[in-house]
Amino acid sequence: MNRTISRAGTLIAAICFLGFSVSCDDDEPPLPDNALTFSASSAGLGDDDNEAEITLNASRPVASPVAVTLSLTTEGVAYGEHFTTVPAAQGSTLVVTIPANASSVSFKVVREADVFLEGDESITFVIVDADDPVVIGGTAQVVLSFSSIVSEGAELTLNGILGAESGASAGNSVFVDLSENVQVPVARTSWDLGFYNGDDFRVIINYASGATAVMVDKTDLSQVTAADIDPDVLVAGLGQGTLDIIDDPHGDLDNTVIAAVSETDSENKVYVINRVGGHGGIGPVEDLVKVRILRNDDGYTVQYAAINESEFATADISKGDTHNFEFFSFEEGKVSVEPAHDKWDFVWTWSMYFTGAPGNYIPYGFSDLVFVNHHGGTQAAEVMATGGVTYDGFGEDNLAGVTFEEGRSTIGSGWRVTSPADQAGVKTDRFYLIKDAAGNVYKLRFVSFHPGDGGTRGKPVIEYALVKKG
Amino acid sequence: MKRTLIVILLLVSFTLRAQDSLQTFALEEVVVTGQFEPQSLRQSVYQVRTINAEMIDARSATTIRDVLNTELGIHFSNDLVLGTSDISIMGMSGQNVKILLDGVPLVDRDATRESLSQIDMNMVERVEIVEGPLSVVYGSDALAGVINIITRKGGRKENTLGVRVRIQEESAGTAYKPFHGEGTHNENVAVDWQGSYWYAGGGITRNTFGGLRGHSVGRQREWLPKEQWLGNGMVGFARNRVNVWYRLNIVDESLSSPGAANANTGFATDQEYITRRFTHQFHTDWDISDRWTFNSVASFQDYSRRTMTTLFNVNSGERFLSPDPGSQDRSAFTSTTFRGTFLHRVSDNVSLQPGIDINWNEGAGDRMDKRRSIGDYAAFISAEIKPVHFLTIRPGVRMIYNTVYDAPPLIPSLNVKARLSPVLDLRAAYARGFRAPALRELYFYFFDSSHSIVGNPNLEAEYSDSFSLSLSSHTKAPDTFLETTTLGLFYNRFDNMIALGVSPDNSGINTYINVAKYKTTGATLTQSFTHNQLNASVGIAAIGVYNELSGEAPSLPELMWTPEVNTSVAYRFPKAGTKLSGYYKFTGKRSVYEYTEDDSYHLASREAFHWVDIMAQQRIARYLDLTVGVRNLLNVTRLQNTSMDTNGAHSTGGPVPMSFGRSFVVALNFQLN
Repeated sequence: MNRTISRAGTLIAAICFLGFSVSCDDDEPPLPDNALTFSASSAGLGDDDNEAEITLNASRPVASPVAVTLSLTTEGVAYGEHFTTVPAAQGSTLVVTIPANASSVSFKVVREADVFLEGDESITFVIVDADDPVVIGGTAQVVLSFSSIVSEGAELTLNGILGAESGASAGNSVFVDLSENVQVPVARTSWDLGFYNGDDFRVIINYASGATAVMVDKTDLSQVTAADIDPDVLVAGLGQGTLDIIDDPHGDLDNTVIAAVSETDSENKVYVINRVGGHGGIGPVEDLVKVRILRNDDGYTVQYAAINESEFATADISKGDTHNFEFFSFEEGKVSVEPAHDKWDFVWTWSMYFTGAPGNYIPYGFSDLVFVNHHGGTQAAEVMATGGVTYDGFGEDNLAGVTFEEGRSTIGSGWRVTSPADQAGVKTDRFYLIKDAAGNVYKLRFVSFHPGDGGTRGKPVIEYALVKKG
Repeated sequence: MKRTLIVILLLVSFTLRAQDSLQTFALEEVVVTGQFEPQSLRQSVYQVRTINAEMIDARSATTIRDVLNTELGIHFSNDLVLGTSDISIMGMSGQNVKILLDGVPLVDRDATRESLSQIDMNMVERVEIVEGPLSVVYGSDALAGVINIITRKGGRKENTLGVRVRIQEESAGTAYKPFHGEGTHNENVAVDWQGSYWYAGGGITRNTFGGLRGHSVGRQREWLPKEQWLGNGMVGFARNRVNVWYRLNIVDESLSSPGAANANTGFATDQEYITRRFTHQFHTDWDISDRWTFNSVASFQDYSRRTMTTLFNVNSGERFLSPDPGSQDRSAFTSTTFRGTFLHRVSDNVSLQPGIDINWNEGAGDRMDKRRSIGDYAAFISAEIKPVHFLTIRPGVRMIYNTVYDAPPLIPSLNVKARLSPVLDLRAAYARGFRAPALRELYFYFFDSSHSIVGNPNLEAEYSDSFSLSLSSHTKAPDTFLETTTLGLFYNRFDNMIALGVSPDNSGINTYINVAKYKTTGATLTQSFTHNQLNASVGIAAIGVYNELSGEAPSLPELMWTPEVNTSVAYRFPKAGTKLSGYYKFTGKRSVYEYTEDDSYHLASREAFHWVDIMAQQRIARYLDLTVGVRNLLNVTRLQNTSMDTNGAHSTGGPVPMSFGRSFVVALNFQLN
């Protein structure tokens, strides 16, 4: 009897032990290294510019500030005489600090006034030390040349994350210049209107915020109220809306929501704009904005106000010659968005785009779109990695059969899969060629962009290499 | 771990005496679900279906699905992405079905009844299914019905020790690797002991499925690999008029979802869904006097589910935890419940059952805004009145106070059973059912580029009115010939159902609202008979579910009907110690109207299918049985589906995955006493 009890007891104890032991073995693998690298190994400070910004990127945000020590070695220039840095260097050492909760830090190299150089001078920065938990990663050195450069290639992690938003709704549009190894992240809701600097008088609404617009058949802004429109007409995305409330998804300026601005003021109607949308809804009706745009000599005048206001504000926008568009925000006035037209090749961004069957297209908000700088003269081609063609093997000789497209959407959404979830990731069966306005041809591939391919949403990784110098 | 288990298996298997596991059970089965006290199926005012241990053994079931999927009106669906399955009963999905383990509601994190696939079949004595609401006693969620899983309880004779050991191997289609890898592998050892007053038992099971690539490519698996460790232990004390027992059930489940390797980097993102479940229960049965009885069950459940995302380098074999902030997720729920009932026999003709039911649930994670809790306090009373000997009337009512939402004030029910003749019973029932808003529906919070969803703390309960009628005849001939015929009719009307809709405050945000209506109705006719060594049953059913588009398009039919037929046959050769059994179910074409983009209505159908299992049990030694069989003999895999909704992220179109295909089963069962 007692033996029976003890036998049963032992067995039950063993069972309970097994039951609990399986529930404790959470063998968790380590996190990958938080590696610190320069975003590219070469950078240029051209004659047109007085300063260059150099960025160090960690793989992920740091919990507390991390000090990074860099050594600088000069070639043909001297600190204080020809250039300084911000923050300032101490001898041949420069210390920068990654702030808490950030994953990158930048410093500036500033050319002293009235310094003229040959162009073959340079400074080499090397990461020599980084506080825990950051470790020194692959691209630990950058050479800054005192001239424009034509990059031989690099791997860049685009910084799409503005704050703490999820990667699929990344807050930045990132403009990329391959030949200079430069990326420029810009908050994608930081602007409302773009005024074309070319010959035509065209105005775009913000594709990257999901803005929509509708015309009101009136020319007096003060006479327009919410009663003049049906707010539901402005709803776009997730199956709703029509293409005529957004600009042409391919960036054709002959097909914008806002008609060409006429010389004759009476032909310029009022438009009502929903500033942020794309998810099948709009904000409160009273936040809609009414605008009317007129010509002003060789520029524009914009009148704008919240929809139910009787007073309106006015701003004059003159055409410039360095950028594709002059950008304007209803809150901030003139704002800087795109780099100069010859300083970027493509932009990676969330954007209003389209979906559906041919003949039945509807507007749809897309994450991770890539638009080529077609107004600036950049062209692109898609190359399928089939029949022995590979990204690694692709060289100048292979360019013979390639046709470059002039449009904006050659890359578009075609480089990645987002659903079904088990197939999400970059498409590895293709890569792209980018021919910039100077004639440089780069091959470009998307390395990762999504947990489904081992990447991070909102921080796509691209790799590119010079195929032919222009 | 595996080695330890095998050592235990060997130790216990040689020390004990045999019992014949092929013995029959009594025909007058006793049921407990919803009853005042355990009583025979025939006496129950509810129409109850039971699946007993003999049927579970005969089918060599490793999941509850293996025994329920040929039942009339019961369907299972698969979510291949999450590796889970859900049940529907009489046209209603899992969130309207209450899953009980010895009367204790099992926690599920979501609308689907994942808990059903986390039950160790080796510890199950019996499964009881009651269709229609049992909301007076069991509260929320019991709209479509209740599935009560009754576990094995201790030994039968004083001072005995029993041991059961099982080793089962099953292929997945034609893919199979012994004990590990492709196929299903189930190993169990369980003991029970009965002393003079004390009794105890426990068991442990490994239940694993190796996954199957199916239509996936590379590292990915269409059917996700699963590893379950299931443990239980119990101890009880019974003396005189008191019986108390404590039981702990442990579930440790890991589902793996290997990702595709990125050719650029060599990295693949793998996910593992790790579920842990500790269910503690304490039961008290006390016969206070001839007129008073007290029953209670207190339980505490601790549930967690973790999504662990790792980055695996297929070239180097290195594995890292994914640093992506959204990729690691943990949801944790606890549930504390107490249900206590008195049974007072006022006279021979009148009994009263007053009771209280307290549920306190807490949860965090799973896209909820923060840790939230909800308390539900209910009192209920039922009466059983027998004005004349052939008539039983049972009215009942439940009153509820809930800490979060405005609970329905009164939940009534009325059941009547009349013995029309010595062989004929009529049962009629009306019941109101309800489903309380889940924590997730109250406090959901999820925003990204394509979702803007918030919970709605102002939700009300869904409710239903349920009517049923059944007529059963039982005839028993002198030579153990028993025939039962049952005709059943049901009609359920659901209102205030919670659906995802556009927020009235902001058209850009979706939220949960009480909006939808639904109906189900149907008829079943079943006949079963037992003659000498033959057991057989046949049933037909027609089940109609509401066409949700019929409201806006009156030209469309209001109900969409699906026919079903099932049959089972078992024959025993007592001298040879052999039992052969076969199970068949036909599920008819299921059609649903859908709204198409060009403003028309499209009738989409999922094709009909036939499901067949055949099994043979053979006693090969005094205490050892061998079972071999084929599940899904007709190799049903993916069902054609003509839905045109195939483009969206949550589309319902495309083939419906039913099974990975025909599988072959071999099992060895020791049963010693």
